[in-house]
Amino acid sequence: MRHEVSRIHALGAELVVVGNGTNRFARAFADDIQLDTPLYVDPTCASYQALSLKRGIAPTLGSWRTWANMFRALRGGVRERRVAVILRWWRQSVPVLIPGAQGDAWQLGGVLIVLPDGRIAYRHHSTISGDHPRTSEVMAALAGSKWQLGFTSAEQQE
Amino acid sequence: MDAVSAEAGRTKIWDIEGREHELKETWAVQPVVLAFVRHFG
Repeated sequence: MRHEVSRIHALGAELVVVGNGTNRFARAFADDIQLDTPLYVDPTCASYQALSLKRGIAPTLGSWRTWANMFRALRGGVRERRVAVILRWWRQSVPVLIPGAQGDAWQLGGVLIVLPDGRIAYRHHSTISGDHPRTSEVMAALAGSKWQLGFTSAEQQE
Repeated sequence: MDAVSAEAGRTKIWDIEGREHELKETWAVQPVVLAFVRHFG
């Protein structure tokens, strides 16, 4: 989603990232991916729970789809991509060994579009690790939500 | 279209400077794409 920040802003919205690790890891995360949008932490995962985002060992690692996604990426990619997949898998596994370091390893994420009146225009709750919504789907929902708010991008810029 | 409950909106989050905020502040002035990540890995 971070590659869509300009389009999100053009639609009069903001991209906000919430993670469940500590501030230290949040800073490193922001630097690593050159994140230029608001970033928050919730080490308690209270906001995740309040929004009914899934948590558990089985959905995180136990699904055959999780492993199928990884092996498909390994089989289909070029060598550099394979290395990236393995490194990513390793980095995501480290929090399991060091509880609370980079976050709650068993907590899954999600994406929501929330309007200023609190209505939820879109929601995607990850059901397994690596289950992310299509960016095009989120952007379409965001564009649609502008319609529901009754103003257009052009009006917003005036 | 359902809405975020008042209780969920009041849950606490912290910016990277350590300042406390309520979750609902993120959508108070504009629509927001809220991305909850698994962890900072």
